[in-house]
Amino acid sequence: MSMRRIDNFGLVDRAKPLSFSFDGRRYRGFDGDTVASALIASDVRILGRSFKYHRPRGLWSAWSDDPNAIMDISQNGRVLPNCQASTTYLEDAMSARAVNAWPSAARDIKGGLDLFHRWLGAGFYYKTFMWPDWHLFEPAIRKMAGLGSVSQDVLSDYCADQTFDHCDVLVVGGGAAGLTAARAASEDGQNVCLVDDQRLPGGGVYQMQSVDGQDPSDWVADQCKAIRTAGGRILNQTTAYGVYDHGLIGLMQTHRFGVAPGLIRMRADRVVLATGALDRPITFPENDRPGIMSLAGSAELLARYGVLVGQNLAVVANHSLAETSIALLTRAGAEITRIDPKVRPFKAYKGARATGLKQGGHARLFDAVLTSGGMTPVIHLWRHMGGKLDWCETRQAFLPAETPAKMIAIGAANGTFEIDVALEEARCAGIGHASLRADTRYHITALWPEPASKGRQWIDFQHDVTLKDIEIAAQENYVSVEHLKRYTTLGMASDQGKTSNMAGLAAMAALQGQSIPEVGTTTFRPPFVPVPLELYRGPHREQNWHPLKRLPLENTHRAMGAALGEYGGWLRPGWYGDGDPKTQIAAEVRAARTSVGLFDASPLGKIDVMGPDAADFLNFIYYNTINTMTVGSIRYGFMLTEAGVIYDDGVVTRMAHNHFVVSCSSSHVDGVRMHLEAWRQDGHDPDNIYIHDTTQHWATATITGPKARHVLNSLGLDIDLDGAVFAHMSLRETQWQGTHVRIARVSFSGDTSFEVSIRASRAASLWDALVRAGAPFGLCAIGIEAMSIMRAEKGYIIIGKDTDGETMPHDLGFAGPRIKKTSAFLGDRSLHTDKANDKARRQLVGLISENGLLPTGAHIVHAGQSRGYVTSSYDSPTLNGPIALALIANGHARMGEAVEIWHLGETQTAEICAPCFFDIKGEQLHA
Amino acid sequence: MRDDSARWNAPSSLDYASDDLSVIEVTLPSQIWVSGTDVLQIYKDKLVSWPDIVAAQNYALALRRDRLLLVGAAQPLSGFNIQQGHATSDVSDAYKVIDISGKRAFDRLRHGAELNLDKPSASVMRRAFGVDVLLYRVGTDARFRLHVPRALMQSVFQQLIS
Repeated sequence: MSMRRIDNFGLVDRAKPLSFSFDGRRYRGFDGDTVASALIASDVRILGRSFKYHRPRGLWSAWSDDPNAIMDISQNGRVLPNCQASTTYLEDAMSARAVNAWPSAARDIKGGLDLFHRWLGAGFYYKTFMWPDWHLFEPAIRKMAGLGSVSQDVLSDYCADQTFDHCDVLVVGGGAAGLTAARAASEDGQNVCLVDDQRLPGGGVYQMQSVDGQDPSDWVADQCKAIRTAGGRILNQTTAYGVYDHGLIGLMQTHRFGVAPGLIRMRADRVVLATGALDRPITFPENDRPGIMSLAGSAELLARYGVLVGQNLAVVANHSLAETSIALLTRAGAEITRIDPKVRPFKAYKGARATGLKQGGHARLFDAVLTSGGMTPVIHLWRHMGGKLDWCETRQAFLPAETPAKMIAIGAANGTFEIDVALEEARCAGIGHASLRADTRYHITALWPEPASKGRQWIDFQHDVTLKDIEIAAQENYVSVEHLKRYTTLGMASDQGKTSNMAGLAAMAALQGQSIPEVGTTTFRPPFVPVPLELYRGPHREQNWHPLKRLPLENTHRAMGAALGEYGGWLRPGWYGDGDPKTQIAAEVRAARTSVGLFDASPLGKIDVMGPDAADFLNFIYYNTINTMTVGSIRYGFMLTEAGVIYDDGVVTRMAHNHFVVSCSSSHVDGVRMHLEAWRQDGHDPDNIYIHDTTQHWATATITGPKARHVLNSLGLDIDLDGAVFAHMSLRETQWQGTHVRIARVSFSGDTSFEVSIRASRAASLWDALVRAGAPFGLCAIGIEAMSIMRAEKGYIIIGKDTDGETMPHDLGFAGPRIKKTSAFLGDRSLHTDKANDKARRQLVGLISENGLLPTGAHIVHAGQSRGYVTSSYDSPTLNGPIALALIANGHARMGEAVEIWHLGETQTAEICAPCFFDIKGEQLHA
Repeated sequence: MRDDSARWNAPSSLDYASDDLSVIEVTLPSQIWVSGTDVLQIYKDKLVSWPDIVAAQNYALALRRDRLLLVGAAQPLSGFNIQQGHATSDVSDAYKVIDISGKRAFDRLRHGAELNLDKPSASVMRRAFGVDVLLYRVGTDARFRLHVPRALMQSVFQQLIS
């Protein structure tokens, strides 16, 4: 007799039959079934194939620890890959297909790979595909590897809801201990949230005949009612899958098939861990055969789904808890044959729709072989939280040791396997009292893998890691558990070692002659169960994936036909107009060079640095000398890292004796603010320096070009704009139409420029006024692309484009402070190292080419070696020819030298020149 | 170099109303940062922290041990007052401000921020929807006021009402 549904067992709703298919064949189940339980009830023995050898796989367990039944499932056009059949609740019209198998799990065409297993052991890839080149083999191997297939269809409404929540007590696990603890805490007046990953809480209690003298279902219902009556919450189908920084718990709440799960970021004052324990496999030859499954899993299939996995059952177990499961199976009518696993040799073999066992020369066939090598407490979240583990010789398991702050483990997760003791422990935990772990009545006979024994013995069912693989790893000195894991892929399957880790550790311990705790465990990392990537994405999609900062004048720019794009985290006009972008940009450059351009420079940093120590502080922060600046003056300078590398450039304005404004690069404002704050609080008196980032209060319009002064004069400001009075690199403050404005005479274009800053809410009025005032002069709005060309013509750098992670100020020709500045400044020491003085340093130069535009990123080569690269390259509308900036080894000493430029296999020559192509004497800049 | 104008919605009004959620943009007379070692003490009578409910037009939001945001005060010049030891910056346009009310208001806020009305905080600074904001209550216990850096308000607003 084979697997079948038993009357009067299980929680499924037999009044609601459901139809579904698996690998193309139709089956029926009931509401409340999982896909796996419905298939087992339909007597389907092979639910999947292993990853490497494509061995047939039956169900191992009834819930999330099953590594075998992985399926692509679809329903109503919605396809989700790699679903665990044991945790996916059945719905009508589902269509499931085993992954890694074709045409079906039962008749997988790649099953023949197992014949080559002798050559496919641990390290096979690393050893075999070294020669001539791994990349030759990689495509074919990658095509064969992997599990399910991602559908090409986009589920546009598949969006995870993400929310934050909090509670006094979070109880993880709705079994007997969890329910009891949650009830105790709720009735104690605490704000309780109980999470359980199944549709019906109760954990393993349905396997028992009674709990506290009650029918298990009635007992669970009573506990739930009491918890809710006392104000507690119960979140079903919710998995606590990880503990993150500062104790934040990630909860995944699953819904109907095809609906994205929800993410709850839970903050709890206390966490009660009642996650139970898992049955672990026994390692013996051919232990991966379909029909060999977890004893506890088979009991759970019967208790929850009413499925008996066979009439004629062998039980191979080594501990006292097995009796509860055996009693349940017996009540359902199963005939149990006890097998002593210590009697060797002992192996499984394949029978026709049955599983054979050979022991001591006798062979017998069974409907199923139920094994249990002991209980492994589920302590993943405990380890995520930083909790320690102790090895318990009595229980042959790792148990929670020192309690981490805010978390306590109870019940089977704490090694408390007796229900009466666990309930008392849970009541204490619920009201915040920790109780000492009681002596246990549980007894177990140690039963671990025996290295050097005969036969293929599986440790990791999904990834096909066998005892032989562990032996190979040990022989090759991969003896650390972390190395063992990565060399063999032990525990790297989708179940993350829930069934395999303990056996693997024990095998390695035996091979090294050590105890299991001496070998130790691998690191437990979230997530506890696989979670879809959508859980993390949620609403962070499309425009909210990486929200750009928006300009106060964005709608104005849109009305002017701006082409907007991302520049340094801001959505900014690249250029204006609908024509060919290059033509438009060139026209903007010409207009600004010959008449006047209007540029939105609002993102430029405006960070107030104030206080009695502000001058000395900035003198330390900047490479350049700041504390000698006069009020109203502006100075260009570099901020360096401690390594002496340029972090940012920009201008500093001295507004008053103890008030400066740092105008850093647009894309660096947040970073510079944090940089300043960090140094303010380290080595300086923070009570004498204050940093206010006011960037977003301001909007800045830059008027640049020969007619800039004329346009600004038209605004009727009460300041003298004459170059002799209002010199380059100085600032004036005044009022425009009753609003305070700052006018800085600085330039990034290399031409006469004024940066007019006004509060953001008045920006549109100012911009419109400038457009009107500039119209008679041919004013042209210019985007950042035009500005980038103009600054390159002048040889002005963009940090991160014309500099890299090694560029120091003297590489750009700014050597003065390095030699002369006497006061301490950030990065000083690093500017005097051998590396900083290396003659082969890459230095900023210009390049002239008669062969057309040089590609940005092209390498300057000599004797086949790169000697630098092109950082910026443009077709200059001003000079009617290509210009480029480059970082070249010892470039400053190589003016006039012809160099070879290489790019994508093509070479051309260029001549090194000074990095300034426009207004070399600065006459227009200072006009 | 790419025209992404169509990929980004043009900034819209910050007003929104449904049966259970209302968002309206608020224009405050002024917002001024004041920093100094004793500012919290000096403005203690006007100080607002979490989850306080503001009733006045003129108040001071506690930000950190040495900084607050004066709301509705007369606008002094930005700079450092050597007698008081206070640094002052006008940031009236640095923050966009919205009021959120309705049955779903708190729930919507909790979609983007870790909030707990039972746990007081000395500061109104919060990380909400991925942005550093200021959050407190105004008028009633169910009306929330959110100050969001101007450049990121559109993103916060869209996430709030979605």
